[in-house]
Formats: sequence, C-alpha cells, structure tokens
Amino acid sequence: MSEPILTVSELGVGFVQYAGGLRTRTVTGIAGLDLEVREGEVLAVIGASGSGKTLLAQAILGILPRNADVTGEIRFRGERLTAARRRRTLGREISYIPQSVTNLDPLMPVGRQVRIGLDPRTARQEQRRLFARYDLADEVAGLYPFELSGGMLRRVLFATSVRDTVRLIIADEPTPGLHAEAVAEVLRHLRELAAEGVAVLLITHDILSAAAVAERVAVMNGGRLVTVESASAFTGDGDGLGHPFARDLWRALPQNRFSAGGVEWHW
Amino acid sequence: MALVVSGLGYGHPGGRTLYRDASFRVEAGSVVGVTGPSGSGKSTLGALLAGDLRARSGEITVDGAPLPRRGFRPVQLIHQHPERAVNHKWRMRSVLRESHAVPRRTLDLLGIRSEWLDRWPAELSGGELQRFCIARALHPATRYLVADEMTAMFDAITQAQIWHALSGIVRERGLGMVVISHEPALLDRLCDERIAVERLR
Repeated sequence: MSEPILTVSELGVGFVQYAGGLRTRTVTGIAGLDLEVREGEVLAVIGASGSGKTLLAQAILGILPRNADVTGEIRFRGERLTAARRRRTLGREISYIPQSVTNLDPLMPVGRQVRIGLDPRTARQEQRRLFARYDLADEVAGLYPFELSGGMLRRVLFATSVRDTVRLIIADEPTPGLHAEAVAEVLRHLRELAAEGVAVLLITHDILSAAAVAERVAVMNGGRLVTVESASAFTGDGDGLGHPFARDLWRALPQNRFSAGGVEWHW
Repeated sequence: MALVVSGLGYGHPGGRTLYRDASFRVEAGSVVGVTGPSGSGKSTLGALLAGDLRARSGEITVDGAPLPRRGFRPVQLIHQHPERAVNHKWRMRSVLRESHAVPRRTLDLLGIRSEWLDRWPAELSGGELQRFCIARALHPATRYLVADEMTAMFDAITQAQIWHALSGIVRERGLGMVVISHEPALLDRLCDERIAVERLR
C-alpha cells in the first residue's frame, strides 16, 4: 500500500470582512473538506470557479490572504503541516506549479530562475538536466520570458518546480489557454512525475484533462467537496458517476450534451 | 445585411504582418467560428472587427456602412477576462448603465439576480461578471457580437448556461456573431461556419 503524502481533514477556510462600520461577517470559502493524496497518485480537483479549488491549494501552501481563518488539519507525510514545517518543506518536498506564466520574473533569464533553490555547486548541471527533460535547448537558459512562446514558458515553469526531493506537487490550472498538443504535453509531464512516486494534486476546471490524467477526481461545489469519482466514470453519458453534480458537469461539456444543469441544449 | 471584411491588412506596430489581404463575411443571424493556435492573431481580429484597433488597409462594413470610428459601436466585443473589462470602482448597476438601461427581461434571460446589481465587481464570480458584460453589449443598436474566448475560463455548467442564454437572445434579435475559440467541440455546437485564422493571412 502506498504511503499517504497529503491528508486534509475537516478543512475550513473563512474570510472576515467588514460589513459597514465595525460589524464583521464571515464569508465561507471552504467547509468540512477531507481528502488524501498518496504517493504515485494524481488526484484531480475540479469544480466551478469560486468553488474553493484555488483556496485549497493556498491553504496547503500557507499563502491565503491575511483575513482568512483556517480550521481543520493538514498533514504532510503523517505530520502536521505547521508554519515551521512549511518553511522547511516548501520548494524542497512540496512544490507548486502556478496558474499563470506571469509568475515568472520578467527581468531574469529563465535559466537562472530554474536554478533558484538548487545547490549552487551543482545548480548549472542540474538546470541543464531539467532543460533536457523538458525539451528546452541549452541556449534558452539565457533568454528572458518575453522571448519564449507560451508552450515553452509552461515547460520552464515545470523545470522550476521539479526537484529530486519533491514528494508533493500542486498544479493550479496548468492548461487553460493552451492548444490541444500543449495540453497533452503538460498532462504527460504530470503523469511522469507520478510514475516517479510524486503525489500530484491537479486543480483544474478542465474535466477532460482531469479524467485523462488522474485516477480519482474530486468534485467541489460551493466550498464543499461533494464527491470523489473514479476517473474512468467520466465516459459516455456519465451514468457511472455517483453524484448528480458530477453528472451535470460532465453532461454540460459541448462534446457531450451541452446541457446546463439538466436543461438540454437546442439551437 | 452582413458584417463584411474586405482586403484587411494589419500588423502590430513594429511587429510582423498578421493579415495581408483578409476577406470574409458574417451574415446577420449567422454564427461564424474563428479558430487557430494561441498567438495566431485571433484576438487581434476580434479587436479589429469591433473597431478597437484600426486596420492598416482594407475595409470593414456593417450592414453596408463603414465601421464607425466614433459614437456607438454596432459590433460589440466580449472579452475572455470579464474582471479586466469592468470598472472596479463602480457597482454593477453603474457598469450596466454606462451602456443603456438594460431591460429586466434581458437580465432574467442571462440569469442576473437583482441583488447582484448593488455589488462591487470583486464580489461576483467570473461567470457572474461575464453575464453583466454580455448584458452590457446587448445595446438595442448592437448588430454583431464578437465573443473572444468568452467562456474559456469557466466550468462546463457555467459555460453551457451562458451559451444557452446568449444563443436565445441572438436568435430572437437576428444578430450576427463571431465566436473565437480553440475548443472545436464548442464551435461545433454553436457555429454555422468556421474560419481558420491561418487562412486569412
């Protein structure tokens, strides 16, 4: 049995907002969320925008906005992920692939960005190895982000996140805006990492990508995890999906029924 | 009655030429899909059709008249990121009013709830904001819509809801529409005809 890498129990995220004067109200972002990602597994989290997917990633990484109030427990390899433990593990054992390529520094050559956090003695050699792995030519290392295409920038983002010591990768919406071949490439890279034993948490609103790359697909709606479905159930008319919301999501795809929450499409 | 592009030429200042001699037409009441890889100039084409960018050469006419340079734009563009297309310091009621007094029925068709009108843009989700951007574009004088990756950022249900609502309105008013998307299945659902942007080079 493979080891659980990330265990989230009863996670709640609320935001305290001022509602005029000194009155405050708490807006719920996530409530009562449980999930587990094991080594070598890709777990996808899908759901509507505003359903709390990105908040989940931010809660794990400890990068929520200041007014957020977090309850529940997050464990990494069996131990509570405290602020002190995050400082030791983030960037070494836990890695994040952000949503947007604008997270790269526009004023630093991409090779140097990939070398950040690597052992200075072997950094250059390691960066070359990562470039080769992600099909980036050696000369690219000296280029700035604006000189690279969108697909190349995605590969650079992967190279900045992948380290030999990494046990958990959180990828937040790595595919929107990419054409089909580029999407397939991103998914292939995620599968490769899982095959090496990394636990991958893929956050996406792209159901087809989620079902193609993950074993299990967690579905969020309104801050709650409503169901975890087997990826193989996202097929045909979705009759194998256990939860009605998962079926609605699947059937809403234009390649399926293009129905909107039970209302059929007609033109 | 058609949106007609003839001999269009354009390139970004200092950049390579995107279009040299592009010609096509969108009949009123029809839906034309525009496809192509990222970076191939799809959004630029949308901005040219709406009059946000000025062509270097060639001509765009709307139901026989040249695309107006000032005043109301009969070709309305709906962007991929609604949060970048609204004024963050205006409540949603003002965002709508900048265009016209949007009838209650249009708001209902688009699923815009009355209580959203008093909210700030930051208090709505992307899908909710996009409904406002669509309502705003549906001015009585609008003849054509350009939807540039309008639902690419949304989950499947939100995407379907928005297209269900908009397709009904477009048909009822006999508007023409250009749908820019890299999702073939979506274009299959919506479009009478498809143009690959490479073909317009």
